[in-house]
Amino acid sequence: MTRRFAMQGRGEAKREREREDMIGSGSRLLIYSQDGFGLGHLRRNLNIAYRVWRSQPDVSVLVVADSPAAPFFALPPRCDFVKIPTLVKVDSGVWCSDRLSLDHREVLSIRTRLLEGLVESYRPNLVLVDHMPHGIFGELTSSLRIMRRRRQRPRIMLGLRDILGAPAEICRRWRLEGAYEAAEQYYDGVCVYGCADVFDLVREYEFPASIAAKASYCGYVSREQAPPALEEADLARMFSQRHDGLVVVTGGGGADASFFMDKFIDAVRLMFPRVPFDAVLSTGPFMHPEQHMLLRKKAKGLPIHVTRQGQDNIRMLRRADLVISMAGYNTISEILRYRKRAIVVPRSGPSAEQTIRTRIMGERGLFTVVGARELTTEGFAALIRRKLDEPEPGDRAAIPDMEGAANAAERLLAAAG
Amino acid sequence: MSPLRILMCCYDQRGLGRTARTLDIASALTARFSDCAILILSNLSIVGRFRAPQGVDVVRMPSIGPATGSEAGRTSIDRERALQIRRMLAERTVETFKPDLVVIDRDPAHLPAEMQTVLKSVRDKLPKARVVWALPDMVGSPRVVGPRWSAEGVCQTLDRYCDEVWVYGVRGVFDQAREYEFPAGLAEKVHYTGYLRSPSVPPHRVPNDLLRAHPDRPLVLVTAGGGASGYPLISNYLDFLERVNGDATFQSVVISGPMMPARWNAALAERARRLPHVIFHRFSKQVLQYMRHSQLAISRGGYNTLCANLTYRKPAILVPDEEPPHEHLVRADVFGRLRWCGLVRPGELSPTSLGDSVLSSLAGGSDQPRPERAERVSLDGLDHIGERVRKLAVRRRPARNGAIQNVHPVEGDGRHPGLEM
Repeated sequence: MTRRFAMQGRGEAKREREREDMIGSGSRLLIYSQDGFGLGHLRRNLNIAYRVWRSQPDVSVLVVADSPAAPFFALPPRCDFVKIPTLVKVDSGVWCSDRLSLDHREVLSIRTRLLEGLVESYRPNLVLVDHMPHGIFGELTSSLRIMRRRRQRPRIMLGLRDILGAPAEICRRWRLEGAYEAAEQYYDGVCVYGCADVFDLVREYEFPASIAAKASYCGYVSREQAPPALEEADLARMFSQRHDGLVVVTGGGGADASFFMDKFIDAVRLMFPRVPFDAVLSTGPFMHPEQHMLLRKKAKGLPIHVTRQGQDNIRMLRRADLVISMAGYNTISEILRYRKRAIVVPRSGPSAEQTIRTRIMGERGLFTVVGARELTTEGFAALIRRKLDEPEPGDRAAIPDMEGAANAAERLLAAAG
Repeated sequence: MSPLRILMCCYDQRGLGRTARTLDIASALTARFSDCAILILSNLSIVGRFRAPQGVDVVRMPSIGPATGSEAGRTSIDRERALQIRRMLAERTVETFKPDLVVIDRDPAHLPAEMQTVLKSVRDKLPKARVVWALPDMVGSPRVVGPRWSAEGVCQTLDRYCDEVWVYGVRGVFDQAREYEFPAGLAEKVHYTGYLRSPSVPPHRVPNDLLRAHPDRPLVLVTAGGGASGYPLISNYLDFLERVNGDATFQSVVISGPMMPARWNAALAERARRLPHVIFHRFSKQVLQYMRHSQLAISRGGYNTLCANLTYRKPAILVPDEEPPHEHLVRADVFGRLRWCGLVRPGELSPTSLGDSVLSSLAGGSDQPRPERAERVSLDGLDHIGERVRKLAVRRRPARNGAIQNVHPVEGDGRHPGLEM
């Protein structure tokens, strides 16, 4: 008797869950954002989450992130996050745990169990997986299976940034790791956060017809809810004596940005005392504190304000007459969106993503590209002077579609039905 | 040999104090035990702003209240589901990480079912794991805490699931076991670790904006912890400065706190901007640097700030709130009675009362409370915690050949370190 009652209770609970899964309003979106070494994916995903909220304010969003700095950016309304232990990419296909002195396989098994649990307890009806169809070392596979088995199967979407890496390398890895099969088997759609005429990802990465058919280009995702440009009063607080121009130097997360920042300070020192601008050098949350201090020391006496405040980057960038940066997705999107003159120094490894992006966009005349190894102090100084005299880039035709966040949000919500 | 695994669970309700001190403790433990992996389970929304030390990683659970840092009353994901997710995260972290030691820093009252499940699963699945409940020097007024704990069976829960209770304080200052009437069994498990010395700050590391300010003016530091309920303190302080109208002979650094609702923060920031000699931040990683260079520190009496006051021997004025169970108020009372710091009571907070306290403290008469009086209070909490960890977990772990070294914790003389009054 008791037992039957319990069984009935379970059946009831199951039906209850199913009813719940069907409710359209109050949908739940789960976003997997793998980001051990920086903030780029997280920022893009939060921009999309913001757009989702704008069109469907009753959708709740749970972001699973592994960036040690998460969430770093302000979360949109109705959005919360879970941080899982961090794995860091050391080389293509090689990962290790970030700070924990445990073998990466052990960290992986913790992550896998937590991800499965999130799928079971959050019960999303819409899932967006960022850039790795089955996660690091296939950590998502079991969760994807769990979701596929559910009667009310959630819609599962894959989000890929404009360029993942060198085509030969990406194809090899995807084949080796079974990413094509995962994309084919588990996903209802693929959102490419780029434009086919910049980089035809589907063709370059040899997507089979089955995946190509469900892929669509959304355009570039750039900053939503960007705060206004810095005001003169803000700059007056940073510099004792203001010059006309403002150069903003930024390296995204900052983990490997100290090299070109160092070169920049050399170039400014060479121009000193006839420096026609003030510079803000934003080192980013991932730069080693020692390196940050060294740059700060080195910039003493020059019109350079060294700061770590990554959150204010966009305000500085909007004010800038010239941006000098690395070529991460978000920084480039912001440069394009706000039509800034820019000198871009792409990261050379471990993936070719930044060099490919800058080669294509550099050829279109969207900004000037300099290889990190080609940077001489004299050449850098001359280039900065020349760029400051150039007219602002105004050619609308060359700038790709920048409405990626809105388009992706629309695509996601349409998939959820 | 596999590293020593410690799971530290910290649940902050309105502030960030528990997570902040847990990170400090984790940092001290990784320095002491070279082969040690610490996973911190926290609900703090801004946990990413703190840099976890080498050997330490973080799992962050979703919030169950209104989303922090956004408008009050707005929830992110629904409460029931968030609770389920939290229980799952805690259970599975325990299951997969297999800690040798679990340290929980959370208010033991109003324990959600979620927490009981976790404790039970540690006991069931990891019989060798040791469980410690950590409490700040005082939890609240005995009049509130005693009845609440006995109504909820808190002491029974602690006694059943925990091997030890660590009080990050000193028995001579506040005897929790007696004040909260712990039953004998539980009282046996209590270890007073002493207060937690704040990390040291090199004297030459002066925050940039302070360098540009006026070095000849004495510095008053005003902090509101997380900031969620810091508005009255900061507003009254700015009110006082507005009344002095530029005639103040000192300068101020005001840190409102990252959890203060954005609208309030903006209003305070705007008022501060109009005042001379005021530096205003919402969040600063340099709080300790400011503290070190200050002549007076005003706070709400949170545990971590008080530790910093003691570490740097800074005259302090505590402005506690009235929120039950009155943790801040009791702390301010106890320290005020000992004449270690000044105190403005909740009902008496006004621009005038606060201003008078500031002015007389800066004038520095012999009757002023002095932190030096507290010099014999132990600040060696981190060392004692390390020692407890060694006795509880390190010495119990299986040796390389798999045999269990069955060493029982030895009760040393240092069991109640601290005050010799």
